[in-house]
Amino acid sequence: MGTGRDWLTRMTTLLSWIDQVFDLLFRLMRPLPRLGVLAVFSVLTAVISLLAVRWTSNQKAIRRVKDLMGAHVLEVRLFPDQLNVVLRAYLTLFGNTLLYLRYALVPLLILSVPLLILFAQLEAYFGRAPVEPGRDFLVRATFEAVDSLADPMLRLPPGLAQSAPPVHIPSEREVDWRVKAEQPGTYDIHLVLQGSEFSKRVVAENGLARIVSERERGSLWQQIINPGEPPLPRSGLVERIAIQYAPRVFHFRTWEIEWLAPYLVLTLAAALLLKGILRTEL
Amino acid sequence: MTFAKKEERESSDGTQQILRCAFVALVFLLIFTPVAHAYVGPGAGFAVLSSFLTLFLASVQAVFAFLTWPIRQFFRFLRRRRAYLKAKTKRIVILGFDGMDPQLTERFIKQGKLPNLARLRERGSFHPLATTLPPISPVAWSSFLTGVNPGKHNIYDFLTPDRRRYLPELSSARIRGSKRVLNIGRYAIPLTRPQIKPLRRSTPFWHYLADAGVFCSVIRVPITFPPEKFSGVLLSGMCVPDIQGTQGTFSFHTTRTAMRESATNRVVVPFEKHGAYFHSYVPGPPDTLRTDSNVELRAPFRLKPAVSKRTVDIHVDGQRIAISAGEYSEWVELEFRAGVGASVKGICRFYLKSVEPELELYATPVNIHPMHPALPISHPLTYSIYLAKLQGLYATLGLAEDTWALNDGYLGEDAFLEQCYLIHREREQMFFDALDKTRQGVCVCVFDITDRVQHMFWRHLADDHSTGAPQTGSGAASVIEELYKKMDDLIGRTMEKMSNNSLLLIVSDHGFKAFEWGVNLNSWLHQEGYLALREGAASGDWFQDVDWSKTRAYSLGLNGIYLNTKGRESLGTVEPGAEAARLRTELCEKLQGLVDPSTSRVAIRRTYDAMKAYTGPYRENAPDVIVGFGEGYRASWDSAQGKVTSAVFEFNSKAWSGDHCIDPGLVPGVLFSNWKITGDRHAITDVAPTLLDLFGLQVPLHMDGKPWPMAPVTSA
Repeated sequence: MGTGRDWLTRMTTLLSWIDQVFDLLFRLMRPLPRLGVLAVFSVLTAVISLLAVRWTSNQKAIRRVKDLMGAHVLEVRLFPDQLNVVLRAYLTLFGNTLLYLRYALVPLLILSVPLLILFAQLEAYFGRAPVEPGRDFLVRATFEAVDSLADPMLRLPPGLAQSAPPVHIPSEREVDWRVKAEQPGTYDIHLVLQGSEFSKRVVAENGLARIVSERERGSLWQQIINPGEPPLPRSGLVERIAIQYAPRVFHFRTWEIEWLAPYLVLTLAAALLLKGILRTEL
Repeated sequence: MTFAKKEERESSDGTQQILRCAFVALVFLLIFTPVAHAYVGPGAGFAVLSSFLTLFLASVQAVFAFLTWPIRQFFRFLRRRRAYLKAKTKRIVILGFDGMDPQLTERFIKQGKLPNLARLRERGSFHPLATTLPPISPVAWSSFLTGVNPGKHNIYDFLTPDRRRYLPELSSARIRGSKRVLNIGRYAIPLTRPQIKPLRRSTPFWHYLADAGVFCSVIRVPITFPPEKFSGVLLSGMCVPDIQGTQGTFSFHTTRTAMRESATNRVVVPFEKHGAYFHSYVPGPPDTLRTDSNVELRAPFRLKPAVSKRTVDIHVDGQRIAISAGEYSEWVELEFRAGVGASVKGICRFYLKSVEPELELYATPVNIHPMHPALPISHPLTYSIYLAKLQGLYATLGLAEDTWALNDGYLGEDAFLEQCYLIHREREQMFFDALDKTRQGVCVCVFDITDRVQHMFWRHLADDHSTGAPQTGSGAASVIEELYKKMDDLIGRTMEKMSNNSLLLIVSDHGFKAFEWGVNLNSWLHQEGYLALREGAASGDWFQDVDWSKTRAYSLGLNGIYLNTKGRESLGTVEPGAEAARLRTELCEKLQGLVDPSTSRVAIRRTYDAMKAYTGPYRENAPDVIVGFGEGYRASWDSAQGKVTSAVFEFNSKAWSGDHCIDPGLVPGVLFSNWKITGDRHAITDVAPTLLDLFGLQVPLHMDGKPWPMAPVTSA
């Protein structure tokens, strides 16, 4: 048991280092526009992924199976009037597609861990918009037991003010506060319960800042997908503190799209352009 | 149950099974398509997206094909009903073996070495197949595919003289640069495709068959470059050029010399040593985008010998190829980059000849890349790409087996033989794929290995060699026998894939005889006063220093003598008409029966006046006199290249020791079939009309050949 805790602690430390690395990277790219920063990360993702695919996959086999897929597609065009040839080509094409996915599985699995961490970090920077000064937002706290709901108190720093009394939702073991940022800034709010204090960061200023919507108790998974703030103590009475941020969007003329779409397009485009240079068969 | 019915039922069962599997696959796809949303980086993204995109496109195509299939089949049925209704068979397979000799075949059959051919001879047919005049592959195969004499298809040799410059040019196709070019500074950007003009005339039989709705797969039949459009698939054969536009120029890389040397069919390039690496380059085509100089495009590579000195690592275009001494590499993709981002892609194989005492590396001629063809080599264009994707890269050069490298001593016999069989295996693979795809219709494939190996190994035949060339290869004496056995095995495997009703034809364009002595026709013409050299000058290749104002006749190529005719040749001296006719007769009479004084043998068996030997609209382009050499003789190497030497007769000491460019009566080809073919004369020109007749089509009047009377063998 102790070993498990130690491992979790080590992982938490490692994740905090990763947070610091990303914070540093984003600080370095602060002069760039947001889309520029996203483009840099897209290219980096493409390069790392291409190298990983090149080193971890059977490139020869991938090339061969892709050639075969191409051959069977051409077969359908070349011999369209021969039903048996056409049907056989489709079946083989299907088999080859599965084979291709199998060859792609190893790099996919290997890449999934670093990419998951990367996505979580990018989500922290691009996924949510800061709260707007002058507008209300919700602070939600979830507790371990219903009897804890009577006691909690939210201590706000100067610049933040509570705009309505807290709402208790016993069925959810939750208390919600309506808060307003009076001026731009980054604040730490504190939840006080039975003598213990639990903090949560609130971002109410524009620019490239890490915005963490939830701080949760303990699990490694939660630490990975909500990076930037240490987990709530396992032994504490608070399970979760969440800030209600609006999703951040990129504006392309009349379109409003979240960061994942341009990131996907840019990484695919970069990978397509760079795969020849990096000699990677995708 | 008859075989045909059984086959039909099996086919129907198979179709149902395929349909069931397709349905399961479709259901599977519909269920699991949401997986595509799980984007995890470009690698996985590409894997998922491209595979599903492929499947999606394929499915759309499949649905379209299924929906339109009955309509298309109905229209096709209407079109081909006549052909298949009247057809005596629904499937014809033709295996062409370039140069398969009837006498040798007969001998090996008698010795029990060719069981499949023996079976065909016993139950079906075996006849000698009369070849063309002259019996040269491009001529004979052109007659095979058109059913006409050379006067109608316009092919008389590999080369034909450019009458304005007295220089040789390819007889089958003319390749010129782009017609429209945009000049920007020192660059000339082509605005249109290069012009490739086929010079072979008359229509191949597969065009008639395709028009009637009969599907044809045509693999590597000579003189099919550039490929012509028809409703079938075709991969061009003999006369497809290499990336340099030649008929095959290999490069040899060595530390033995410090200077680059070029000759016809080869370039010797020195290695330059920098540190642990030896640097060299594969010569490519000229950079046609540059107007300021004649720049050659090159594919540089570097080579590092291993410590053991047995193997080397070749680094070229980001690829690392490890080969041992005496070993060929796989096909290596080369990119020749021009100045403005354009590039030409080709493929070659490396062969490491030695590492010590000198580093010697042979590179095959750079073949046109089948996946990125610089020139069209197939019809449809995607067919060459399809084959490359299906079976891997393959030789595309017309004369892919590098006989010159062996002839000039750059390759040993074993290495040459290995190269031939590497190419042959590729050919077999594409043939069997075509056979599989042609369940109805005509599948024709020509194998060249029989010609190339017999040319180079004939002197090892126990009773037919006298050139005395050293036997360097292991088991060289049995090379030709082994070759025939392998072809027999190929025939056996083909027969296994055919039903009783299908027709199998095995044909060769000519036979083979020893080539012991060369006759220099230009020297003879010079000695007899028909060809004059400039005063005090010695002759060079391609009529260098010939005094055309005093020359009445010259010889170029393997069998032809051309008159220096006024109005046709730029410096003609012979009046066309009566004077030309007299001169033709005079030359024929003087040359026929010419005896070699050193052997007392008849060097020239027969001569032919082209005006009498040929009929057709292109007779004027033929050599005026065609020389039919006697057994053991052929045009000498120098004669073929337009060079005058002091001696008319010269001993042939080269590895190229077998030949067929002699009198056609001496070198007929073979005709085997699983059907009974009757009649008393069978000629290569008969193949095309026979095929049309078998499919119930009327034989065009212009065809010279006649359909053979033939019928399937009824089993007892």
